[in-house]
Amino acid sequence: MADLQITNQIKMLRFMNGEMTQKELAERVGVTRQTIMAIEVAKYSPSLEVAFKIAAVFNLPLESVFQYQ
Amino acid sequence: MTKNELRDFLNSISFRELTLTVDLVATLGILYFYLTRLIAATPEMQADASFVSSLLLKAIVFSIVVAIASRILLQVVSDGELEQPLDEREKLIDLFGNKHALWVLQAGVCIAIFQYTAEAQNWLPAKGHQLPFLALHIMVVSFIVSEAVNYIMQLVKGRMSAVYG
Repeated sequence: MADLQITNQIKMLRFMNGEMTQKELAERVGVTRQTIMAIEVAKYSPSLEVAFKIAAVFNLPLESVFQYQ
Repeated sequence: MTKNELRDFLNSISFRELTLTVDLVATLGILYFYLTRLIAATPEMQADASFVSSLLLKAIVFSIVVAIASRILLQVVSDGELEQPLDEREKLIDLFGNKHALWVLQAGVCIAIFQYTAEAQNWLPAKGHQLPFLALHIMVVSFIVSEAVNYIMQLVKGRMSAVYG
């Protein structure tokens, strides 16, 4: 969605972490694969809790995964 | 749609979408069941309170049977996903569907109240055969349609657009 100003690097980070699938990431974060897919294409902005969980999976600070532009 | 596009589409269908689709088909089936029996009844039967209550009872039994059958079907094809709670995005989409369903239900109730009042006050000119218990039927149909709208809006919102807006 063009209006959203929150971008993310999840897709790239998944590939950099052993080509992790959306399903694997979803299971580790505790959401569905469709939600991960929606976050990746900026159709959905996750809650802070989910955003922190995603960042924790990649062992990165939040701002390295999500950017507000 | 090419073979690959079809395969990608089928792969992208979530269990939630499958559940919603099954519920939508079941709801439309209940609506079809109710309306066909009501329309097929003679004017005398339509005016008979026992026929109407019997039809409502049959619709309720039919909906329970359909709900149980659909849950058994989904349980068979699911991999434990049926028991999993909705995640935060699915809850938002669920709220979105409920909001639209509520509008339809409210409109149906308002129309039913207006129709009942108009009939009681003789506001509307008599035109041929008028369906008895029309206010009741309007409310029943609006209830079923609101459920269908709920499922349709969730399917549309979940697939075609952003959750916000």
